[in-house]
Amino acid sequence: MIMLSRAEEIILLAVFKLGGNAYGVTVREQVYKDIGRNWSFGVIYKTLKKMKAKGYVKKISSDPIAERGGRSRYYYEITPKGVSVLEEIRTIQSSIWDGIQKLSLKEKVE
Amino acid sequence: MAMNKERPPLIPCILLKLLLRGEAYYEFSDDLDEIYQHRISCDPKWQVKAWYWFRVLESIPGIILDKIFWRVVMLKNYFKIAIRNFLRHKGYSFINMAGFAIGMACCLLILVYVRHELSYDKYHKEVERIYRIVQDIRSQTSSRNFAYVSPMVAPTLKAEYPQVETAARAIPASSRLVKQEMAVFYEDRFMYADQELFNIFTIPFIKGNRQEALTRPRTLVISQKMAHKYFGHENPLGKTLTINEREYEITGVVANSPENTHLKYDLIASMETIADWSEMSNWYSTMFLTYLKVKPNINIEEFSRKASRLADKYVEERLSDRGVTYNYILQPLSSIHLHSHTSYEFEPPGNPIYVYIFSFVGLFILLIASLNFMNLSTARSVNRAKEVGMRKLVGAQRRQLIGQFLGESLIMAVLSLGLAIVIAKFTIPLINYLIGTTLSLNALLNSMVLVSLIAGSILMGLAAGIYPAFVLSAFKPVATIKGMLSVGSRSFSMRTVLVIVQFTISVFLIIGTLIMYKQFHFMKNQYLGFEKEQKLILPLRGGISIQDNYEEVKDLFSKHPSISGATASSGVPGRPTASYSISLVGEEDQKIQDMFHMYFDHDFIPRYGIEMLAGRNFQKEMSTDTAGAFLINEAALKAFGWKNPEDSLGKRLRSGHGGRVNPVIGVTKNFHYRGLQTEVEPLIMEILPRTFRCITLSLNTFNLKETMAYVESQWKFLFPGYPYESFFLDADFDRQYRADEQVGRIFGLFTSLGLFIACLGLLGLASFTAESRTKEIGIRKVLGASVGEIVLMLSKQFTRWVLLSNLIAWPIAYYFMNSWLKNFAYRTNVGIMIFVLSGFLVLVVALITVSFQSIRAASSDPTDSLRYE
Repeated sequence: MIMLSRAEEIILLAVFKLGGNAYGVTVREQVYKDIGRNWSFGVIYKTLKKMKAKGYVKKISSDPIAERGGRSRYYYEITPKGVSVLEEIRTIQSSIWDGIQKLSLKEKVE
Repeated sequence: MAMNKERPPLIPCILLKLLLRGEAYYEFSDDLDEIYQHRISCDPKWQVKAWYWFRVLESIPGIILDKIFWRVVMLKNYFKIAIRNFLRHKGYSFINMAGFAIGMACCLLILVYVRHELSYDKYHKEVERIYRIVQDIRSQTSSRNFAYVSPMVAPTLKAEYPQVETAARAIPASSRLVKQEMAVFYEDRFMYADQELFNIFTIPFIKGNRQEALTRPRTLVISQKMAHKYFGHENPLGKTLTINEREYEITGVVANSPENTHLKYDLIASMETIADWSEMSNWYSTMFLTYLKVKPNINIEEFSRKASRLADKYVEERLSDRGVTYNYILQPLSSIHLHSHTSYEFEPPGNPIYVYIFSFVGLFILLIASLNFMNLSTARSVNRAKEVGMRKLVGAQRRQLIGQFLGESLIMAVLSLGLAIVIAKFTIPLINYLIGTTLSLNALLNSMVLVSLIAGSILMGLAAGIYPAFVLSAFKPVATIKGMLSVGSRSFSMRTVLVIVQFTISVFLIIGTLIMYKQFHFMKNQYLGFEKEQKLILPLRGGISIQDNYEEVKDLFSKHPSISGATASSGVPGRPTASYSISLVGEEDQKIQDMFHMYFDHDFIPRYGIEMLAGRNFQKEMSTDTAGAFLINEAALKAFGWKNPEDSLGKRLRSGHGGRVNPVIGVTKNFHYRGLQTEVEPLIMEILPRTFRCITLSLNTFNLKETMAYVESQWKFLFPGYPYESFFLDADFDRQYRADEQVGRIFGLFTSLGLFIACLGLLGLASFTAESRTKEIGIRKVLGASVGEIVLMLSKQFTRWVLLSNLIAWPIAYYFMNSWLKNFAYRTNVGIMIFVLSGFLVLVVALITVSFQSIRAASSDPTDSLRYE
């Protein structure tokens, strides 16, 4: 079983949702939309780098962009391996939450 | 918008640039910039700038964690490769590590020894304020230092010098017979001391009141060891011990005397016990060790200047007209062990030269071991070359490679340190056995020392690893992958230099050892001017006196057919003798000298085979010879300025020992009553039965066991209640060389280790050379070379190196060993043989080492070697 850290899971999902338009700025925005919190760029790059090493995303440099002084923008794209990990996580997620409708202490005691 | 870009704040940009490199930096800063440019057009400038600041600052922890994460990943890889390398080349790795570890173990042991020597008396509290006062007695012709001074010095210091906080006297006495019910033993570490001694030295009390332990006569403070020996588990306080037939009340038990003090104690009796001695108010007596503690923050130079003439007003009148002055010198307590050169030191002092020598030897061995490491690492580089090439191809920077190899040698160094500690732990009992010390590794259990050890080994790892690291990381990737690397093809490479340095040191150490041993051999076999063989000495301790019956005692022992004779004396050659002033009657006012005195009966000269130069020996028939005549030796003759031995006969001398005036009746040839380190000094001899403390029996070794039993039974009959003891003169005399011999033994041990390490290195190098020339050897064999020729070819190079090392080492060794020999008044000649011999020895050892490998390489099947690679 492959385990992702929570941060990895969130960012991998963001990359997945963004389709072909995932780079630093958009990933951070997507994370904000998803969990309502602004993460530091440091954490985002760090997590992306780690997942790149694990082979869940790949890094693609775009054509040169004038606004960046002729440098590329670095896009991230989810790999098939990344997708299968997400699927696995979803299965696990639903199986561990299975049978729980409402969370409250009383119900648990019964 | 693209044209007039707003510059983001400078400082965060610099921060980013410092933290990130290349792609990562641009990704981060460009992404940030994108939002920045977007927001700057709609929001207030300061707000956007602040936003930029925050984004950078909040990212720093993430960036740093990221860096650490990838470092660790890389480290894991380095580690894995290092371990694989280690295991694949077990032989090399073992040689490398063993050499390093043995070198470090030597250093550790030397460190323990040197620390022990340097730690003497430093454990006392406020030791920087504690001094011993010694006396320099100077006349026109002589100057002699005494560790012992008059008993009046301590009270005078206390009364007249406000700088002195307190002062105390101590007299370490000769061995005592201690009795407690059935337990009877001789104890050597007995002394009388003032109560104040406990306020100067740090001597922790286990039992008893430290404030008044020694205030009354016949009170005694004993060490824990003694308490256990005589009282077992009982509380000794208030009980009594009988010492030389006098009873002492035990008023305190103190911790055992540490090894690193010059004043070792087991039994301390109160000075009050001997308060009624006539000596106690004698300014001319030199019997008392005197210690003082000065008040804090005084001007010590001024004080020592004033104190140097402290006795003048009491003694000046009597001394000045004889041209004698008393100078007092303050010695810092902690410097006594190594730097005090007074006569009759209580414990033979350490020799600072040996501390230096050993520090150097330690450094040398460490140097050999490091050079070894450097050599082997670079020699092995061929094995690593492909790895380096691969790493470079996938993008390793030179910086990283240097880091990797440095890291490897660091790990090696730290591991070696661990191994070294284990080796040292197991060898320290051996060292203690060899040199008779009680060193312990516990001395290193000190956070400061441990930290510096680790730091030291890291430093060593760095020093040894830096050269290989740079060599290895400089390889051209393409060349390494193609296998075009040629290492060591240059005829005179760095590696050659390293080997030559190693062997120079080895040769130097071997020459040193051989010369030391030659000197010891010389000292032991030199004719001493008397016969030291087959003499059994019975010391009379614990207050036995044979003043009145020494002739009967001698006769009783001589009855046995195997004992050809006996003689009684105050001491025997090799044991300390006392010195007193002496002057020619009529010249007392002009010239007083200080000479050693020895007392013995008329049988001593013939029994010891001492030759007479002029005059006659003491004669039994002449009753006036007893306490009424002097013999002098040749040296004394010279000191008095007499040209012919006959000139001295009949001259009357006044001795400082009891002020007796006697005529000189004979002159003996010089004989070595002290070790060969010192010149034979003037000696005055007399028959004085009350000083007799030794009986010498001349034995023949036929049926020795039975003779010894006879001697013991006679002893029990003559001196009931006194434990029987005896020793042979020749062994006892050689004890004087023990300190030097110990040094020689350690030196020899470390020399062989140094040579061993150097050979390990050579072995590694030789096998490497053989390996890298496998093809060449194969081709030569195919073309008809014999095994012998190939071995010769492989050994030639090493032979040249070793010969060169010899040439370098010889003059250095000659210089240093000559100055070492100057420590001895009687010394052997250095001689060319030792040099040739050491050179030959090293050459043989080196060739044997090399031939292991070269024979294997030379006798291998050429087809195998040609198929190689």
